[in-house]
Amino acid sequence: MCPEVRETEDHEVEFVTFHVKDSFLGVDTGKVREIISDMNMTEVPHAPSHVRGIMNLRGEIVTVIDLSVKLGHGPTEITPETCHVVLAGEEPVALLVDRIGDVVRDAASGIEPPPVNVTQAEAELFEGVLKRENELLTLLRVDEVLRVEESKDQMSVLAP
Amino acid sequence: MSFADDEIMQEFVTEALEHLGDVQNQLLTIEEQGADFDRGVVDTVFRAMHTIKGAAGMLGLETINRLAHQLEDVLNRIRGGDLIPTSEVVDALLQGSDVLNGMVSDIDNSADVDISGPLGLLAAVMECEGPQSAESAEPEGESATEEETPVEEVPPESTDEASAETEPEEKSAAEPKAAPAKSGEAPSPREGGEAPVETSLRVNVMLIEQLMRLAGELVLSRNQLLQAVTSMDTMALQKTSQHVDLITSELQGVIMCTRLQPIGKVFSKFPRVVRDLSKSMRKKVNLDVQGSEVELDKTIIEAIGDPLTHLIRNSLDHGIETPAERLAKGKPETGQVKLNAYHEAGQVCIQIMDDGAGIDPERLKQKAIEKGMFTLDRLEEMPTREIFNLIFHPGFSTAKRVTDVSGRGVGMDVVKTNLTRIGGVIDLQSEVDKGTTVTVKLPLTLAIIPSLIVRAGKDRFAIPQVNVSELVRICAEDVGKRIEQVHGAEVLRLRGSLLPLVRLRRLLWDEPMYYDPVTQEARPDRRLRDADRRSGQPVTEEIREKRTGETDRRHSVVSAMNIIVVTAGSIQFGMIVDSLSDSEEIVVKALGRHLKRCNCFAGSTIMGDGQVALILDVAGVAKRADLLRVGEKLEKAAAEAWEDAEGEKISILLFNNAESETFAVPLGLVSRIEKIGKDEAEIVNDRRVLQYRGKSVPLISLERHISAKPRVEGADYFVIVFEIRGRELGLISSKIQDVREVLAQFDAATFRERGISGSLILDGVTVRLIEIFELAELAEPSLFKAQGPQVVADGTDPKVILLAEDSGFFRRHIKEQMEEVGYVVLDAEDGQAAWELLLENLPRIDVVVTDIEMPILNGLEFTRRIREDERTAHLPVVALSTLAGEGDIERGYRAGVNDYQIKLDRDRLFAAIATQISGGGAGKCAQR
Repeated sequence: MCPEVRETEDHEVEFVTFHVKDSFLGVDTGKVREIISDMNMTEVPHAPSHVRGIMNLRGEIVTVIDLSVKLGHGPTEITPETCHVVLAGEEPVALLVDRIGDVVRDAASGIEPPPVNVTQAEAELFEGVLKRENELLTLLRVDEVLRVEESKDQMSVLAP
Repeated sequence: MSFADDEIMQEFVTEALEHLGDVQNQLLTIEEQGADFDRGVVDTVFRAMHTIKGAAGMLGLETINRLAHQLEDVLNRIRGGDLIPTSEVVDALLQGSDVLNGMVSDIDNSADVDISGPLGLLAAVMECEGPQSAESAEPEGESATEEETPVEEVPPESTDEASAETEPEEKSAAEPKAAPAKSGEAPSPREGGEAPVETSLRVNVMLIEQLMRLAGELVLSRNQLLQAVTSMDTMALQKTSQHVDLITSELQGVIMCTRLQPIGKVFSKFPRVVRDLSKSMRKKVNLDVQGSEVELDKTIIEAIGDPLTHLIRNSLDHGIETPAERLAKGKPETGQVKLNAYHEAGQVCIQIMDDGAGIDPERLKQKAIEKGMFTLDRLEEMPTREIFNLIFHPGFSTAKRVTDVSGRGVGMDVVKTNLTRIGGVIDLQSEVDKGTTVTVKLPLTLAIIPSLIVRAGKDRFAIPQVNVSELVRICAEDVGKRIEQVHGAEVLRLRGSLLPLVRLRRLLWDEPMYYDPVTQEARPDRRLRDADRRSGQPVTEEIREKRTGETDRRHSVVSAMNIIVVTAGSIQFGMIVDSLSDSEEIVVKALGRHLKRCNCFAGSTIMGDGQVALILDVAGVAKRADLLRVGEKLEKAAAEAWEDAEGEKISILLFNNAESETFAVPLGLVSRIEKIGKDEAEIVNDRRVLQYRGKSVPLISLERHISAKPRVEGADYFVIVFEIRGRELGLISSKIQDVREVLAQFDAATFRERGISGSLILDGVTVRLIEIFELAELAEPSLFKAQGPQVVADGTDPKVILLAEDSGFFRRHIKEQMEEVGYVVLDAEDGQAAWELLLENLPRIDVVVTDIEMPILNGLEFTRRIREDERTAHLPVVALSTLAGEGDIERGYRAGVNDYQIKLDRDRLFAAIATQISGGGAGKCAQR
């Protein structure tokens, strides 16, 4: 059911967690390269609205995706707690999140499909929900989040 | 059949296999899509086959060549829409490509493979499906025999013959004359974007040693640096950081060197190509290669092989004539093709020159019109240079036949595209029967480019230096004057031409200010505000900025304007930036896939402080700014100006006498302007005179002769010097304002007096135009009395002038002057009216004076008509114009004009008329 989730030997799964607005989100640790708090970004004019900018990570150009925008909320406000979650992959991409959380381990069996009352668009972005003792961790479908939209044009184009 | 040397053969095999590897899947895709196939895919396969065909032909691999040729033909039919890629068709194609694959893999035995099977299949497919495949009917007959030429020969030839007769330009098969893409390997491989990349690199051991040494140094310096940091020894820190700096630069240099390879690597295969080709075409060609030692980045070397091969093949195929033709033209039997590489201005230039037939620009024009690419008008305006470069337009081809060597429609445009991809520029110049020269300019490397760093808003941007042609700074007080609006688009007057302007900050952020200048932070609600604006809420800031036409003052203390004049292809425009930073060598880094659609940017780079800056793509910026439309607007404005019945332009010099009054004189009449100290001129006999080079120049004060306010005495002033009747006269002016080109629409009534010919309103100010001859006559009557209006003094019939002039102002004015000296003037307001008037009054007319720019029938046409008609051919014609460039004058003389004069220069015009009448008059008498 969850092909993206890496299961450890004892059927435990491991997630890097973070907060975006009110959501508590998680990404498989295997998909995260590093987490940085340097907020030095360069904005790219006319970029799609969910692209917050680009940044220099030791000589590599990283595209920063504003997860909050991607999830349908407004742009993330930069605070001292704001972080970049740099994802592993051929092309360096980072997710801009409000606050980073702990690394969470849990049994894979605790994962359930996203509830039916989330919107279709959101459901595509979610792998499932992990029930924790006192909270629910929503698991992100990273490939979907990073998918480049072709038709849905979110560009801030203001053609005269 | 001669086998080429191993290296070339090996290269062919590698490349062909690469192509064939993709072909299978591509064919399957085509099949899947059926009639709605993706043309791009078919093109790719087609080019792959084409490449293989060409290269095989060149290497003497006849069987491969034949099969590939047949495959290509079928694909071409599909591409042209004549054949639907049904599964049978694709089956045949697949089978053909399989056999081809087998042959290429075992190249040594390829000649012995029986290809009749696939050939037959392909021919059959062409026959049954092709609507007009009558000619290709026979092939299947001999499909059994192996050596038979028909299969492979017939289809191609029949296609081109058929189409050559009917509509040569139609078929995708035709190839550009200079450009036939065909070279075997030319267009394809790099086309798809996945160029075969060499995975290993040969590097001189010396370089490796150097790298080792530098690496050692670097480690040492690092240790020192760490030590210095630990001990907080500032001196040592400074020293070591300096050292690290040096080593890094050196390291960079050496590493770049490892990527450099001599261009000879590419050039070395051309002698062979030329030899084999010239043999097969029965031409005699000598190839002269120079500059093989010039080095270029590996990626560039890899990418230029195909385009260059293509260009050389073109030279041979379409440039160099057959020996017989050459002899007939008086050229040596052996044609010359020169291949030359050299460094120029930080770039590498490669020239391919041939002394062949050249390209006829007229044919190119004709072709462009046939293809509906341009209108005749557009082409007429195009400089020859641009006409030649039409060849690079997609789908443009001029060759009449399809040959094995050059191809069918994948032409020079592909060459250009491939070169552009690696930052190259191509230019073609040609002269009929003299030859053609193609120049390719390439950057030394793609990884590091010199750039100009500019600021717009809070961010820095890099503009590749190759795009920058100049920097213009306009100081604050001149902004309003030099930046103008044409139909809402901003333009800058730059040396007489109008340069469209783009405000970078506004272009990028759609609003003048998007960040808070105090905190230097982006406003988080920017997007929302964008939306607001879209919904119609005015942004006062922007409106204010528009109105004043100045940059935002809150943001820049100095509101001077920095304009970077950039060129991208044929577009030139000015980019207004907030400030200029520096010129730097930057390392280009690609943008991620999320940003692929931001076509304003070519990439990004990391600045010295670790911040990322975007690299502007000038062509993308132009596109985004809709400069095409601006260009059209400018053209339209210009056209409107011309269409206007009195739309002629004239350059005038604006000056003041009294501060509050502005006068103008036609610039063409001014000999020079002198600045005079307030006491320099002497007053002799109540008249001011200036001593100049031993002559005394009388000075005219305007207020003494016309109704003008007096100049304030006691300051330095200017003297505008004219030459009238062989003598110099000076007009006193307190201040020289400007030279302007204005529409010659003067009001000849309101301010008319002797010495003033008319007036116009310029920038809200009334400007009076001085009639310098009348003024001179008022001021220096002696000058005129001495020679007098002698023209018609001798009691005979007055001479009759036919005057054709569309501008009412000039017509009245010139007529008046003519009548004053005793001529009889018949006037008409365009060439047609003048022609009718001329025929009516034929016997009376002694001379025709005509304007050049006129509606209905212009002056040149009018003159031609006069020259062509027996009745009028003898009449002298004097042309008049406000614009008299060399070209205009030459065109005038070619049309049959006897003399060419500038309007408003009365002396010279009358002298010309007198000369023509005496000369022409003699002719007239003789005729009577």
